[in-house]
Amino acid sequence: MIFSRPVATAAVLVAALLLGGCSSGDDPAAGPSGGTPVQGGEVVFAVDTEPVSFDVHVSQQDITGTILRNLFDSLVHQDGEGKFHPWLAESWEVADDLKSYTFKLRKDVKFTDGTPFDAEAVKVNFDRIADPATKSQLAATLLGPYAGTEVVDAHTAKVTFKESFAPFLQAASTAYLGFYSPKTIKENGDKLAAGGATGVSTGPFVFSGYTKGQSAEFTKNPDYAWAPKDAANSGAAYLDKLTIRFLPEASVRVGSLTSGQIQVAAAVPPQDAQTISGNASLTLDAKDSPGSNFSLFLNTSKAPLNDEKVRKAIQIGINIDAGVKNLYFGQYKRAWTLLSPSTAGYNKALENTWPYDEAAANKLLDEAGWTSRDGEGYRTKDGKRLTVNWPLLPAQFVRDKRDILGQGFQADLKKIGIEADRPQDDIGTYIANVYGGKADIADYSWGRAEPDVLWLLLNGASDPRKGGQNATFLNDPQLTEWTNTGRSTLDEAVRNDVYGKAQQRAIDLAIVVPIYTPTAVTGRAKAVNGLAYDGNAWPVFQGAWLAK
Amino acid sequence: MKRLPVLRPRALPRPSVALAWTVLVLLVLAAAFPGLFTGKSPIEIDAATALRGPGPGHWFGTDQLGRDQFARVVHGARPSLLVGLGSIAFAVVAGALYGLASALLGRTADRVLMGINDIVLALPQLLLALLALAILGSGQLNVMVAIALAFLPGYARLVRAEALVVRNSGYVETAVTLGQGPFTRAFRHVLPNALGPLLVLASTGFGMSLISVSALSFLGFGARPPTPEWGVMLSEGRGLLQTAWWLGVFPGAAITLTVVAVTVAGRAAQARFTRRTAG
Repeated sequence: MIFSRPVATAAVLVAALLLGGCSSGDDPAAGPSGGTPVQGGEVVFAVDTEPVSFDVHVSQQDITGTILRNLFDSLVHQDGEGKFHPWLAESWEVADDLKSYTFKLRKDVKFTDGTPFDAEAVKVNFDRIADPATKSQLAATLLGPYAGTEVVDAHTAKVTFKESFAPFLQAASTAYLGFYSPKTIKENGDKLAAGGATGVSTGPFVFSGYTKGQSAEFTKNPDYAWAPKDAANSGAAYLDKLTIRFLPEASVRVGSLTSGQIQVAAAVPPQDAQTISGNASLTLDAKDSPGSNFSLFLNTSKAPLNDEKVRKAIQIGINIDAGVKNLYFGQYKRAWTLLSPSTAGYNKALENTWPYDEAAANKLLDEAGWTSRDGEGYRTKDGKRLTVNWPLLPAQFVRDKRDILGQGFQADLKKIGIEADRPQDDIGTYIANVYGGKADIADYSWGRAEPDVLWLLLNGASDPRKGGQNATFLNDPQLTEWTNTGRSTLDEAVRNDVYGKAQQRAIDLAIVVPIYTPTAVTGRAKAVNGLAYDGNAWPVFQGAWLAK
Repeated sequence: MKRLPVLRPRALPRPSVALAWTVLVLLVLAAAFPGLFTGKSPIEIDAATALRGPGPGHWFGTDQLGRDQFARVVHGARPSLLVGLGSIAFAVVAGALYGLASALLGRTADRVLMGINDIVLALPQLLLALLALAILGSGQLNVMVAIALAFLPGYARLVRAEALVVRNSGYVETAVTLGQGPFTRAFRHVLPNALGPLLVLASTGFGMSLISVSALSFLGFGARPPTPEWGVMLSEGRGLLQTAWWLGVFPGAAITLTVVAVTVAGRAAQARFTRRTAG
């Protein structure tokens, strides 16, 4: 994401921290199945957040894309392995310079208001996203250096860019680049954010009702016959109705699931996993979120972390295994590299290469000259205590008990003589310190089903002071070159190579300390069959059915 | 609506007061010398003993980082009591000055000051404290100030009322004729007479302030982790009530016990005071 103003940065950043970034592709084929699908019935799906805006072109929230994925189709479909399949586009061609993409569209697709889906609809939608007046917070960045869409003929659309833009196919597979009926854009463009029946699309469900603070109702689109080529169900949804309930409190979601009031619950916290797995009629689906793992980013631009030995000592001097295991009850994986295992380009070779080693950490700190200790047992050099500033987000933004996890690491650091100072200020102060380069350590994850997330986190041009996300504040020529190469080619071998090397180098330089892989844990009644998960580990209900 | 019965001096059995005072003494000891109760560190983590239930080694069990909950509850007494006591002291002193000023500076000042006071008094205390924290930022000292600001109007009103009564008494009128200035009158005659009811109100207000401290810490405004503080501990244990009940129950019990003890002792003092002044 590219931010221009500090305020916008703050707003988007908060949202990203809170909601885990952006979207990805999907994988309807990977759902479980048990017998012949049954038609009819209603499923209630409880989520933890209510969208601020239901306008899929405007919202940057995960939850908007997640819920609306059931209403919106995309040009192409990305499967769990990152491969692309035909969806609304039967086929496509990418220009050699990656500056234009030509899509041949299906001819039988209709919006639920009867308007045909054609090249003109693609143009109207993409132009709307790119129009600054739309104030798109995510979709516009997914369109990147968008130049325009040319209607070659009724069913051929050519999307052009001002520069080479390799990530476009992945972007086009997200719900955020989904299509509203041009008719509703014209008549209700400014009302789409409010949700409800004006949100006319082509998908397997129709937005039939919305009660703020409570629920959104989707009913089956009986004419639907254009599912992704690789979907298990090529036709209309089996369910008559899908109700989304907004239940922010985790215990309420879990309680509603165990008591049978809802059939699917999103974001089940690790400590409640046993309650669900111990119930004979319920089951858990845990999926690694794609993108970057939750990691510490060490600020190399100032003392004491400009010293690689001190950084290395922190990297191996905190007991990540124990912390992650105790906090997340074995539900979340401990991380070894920046990319999560479900992201293309994941460097598996890094696993187990930098285990916890208190003695080696102490030795590194001795070598770095932090040899004497003060009264409280902290290391000192030239009379100065070895202190790192590691700000804590305000309580309402803390996810996954990362504050408690951090207390464990704070105690580990104390053991090797490093004082971790963890001020908890308001969000404005937090952003000023972390993104202004005043803090020594920052911690976050960044969701996106694209290894290009490494550009955001490691490229020298992604300076947080200029709206970037590289809180290591290091402009390493190799990391910058590799992440640049990765985004300018579609050659998988080249991308795997550069992204693999970048992950290795980030660990070798000890500029990052990956901690754990954020995991989306969904609880569901076993009666719900055929539920598929998209690349963000969110459920897709087009192929779901309810056993009698 | 049925009114709750007011506790009369004799309706309060003596054992409960004695028990309340015992609890309070133990709490003060825990706050001052936590080492008397536990030899364990409240912040030392031990991954090997994480999430143990209450037992011989760990009376109150351990949390997710393997920290001893008993040590954390004992060490948590100090921040909780200090901030509660500090905020009430601040509220009493500032409220008394405000009330005196209102009562003694003349009719216009009284109208303005009490007007402001009544507006603030109309707002819920916790909401006021949250507003103050939004401006001040988090931290234990700021929590203390925020709660003091929220409690201040009640004391200001009480002191003003007492001061008005005393102002019209014979000895103050004599003081006026003797040519004593308003400050001398305020501090020599009015304040000492208003002090009794003020302290009694403060002793029951202390219980309220303790709850506010815990509530604000629970919301993440107070003590900075890993400092053991009851509200923070309660918040940390909240999501785990089904798997590790001891994480929420013991700090919760500590807060409840303290507030009940303070209130019982405060009510007893109030009863004695009323009896004395009435008799």
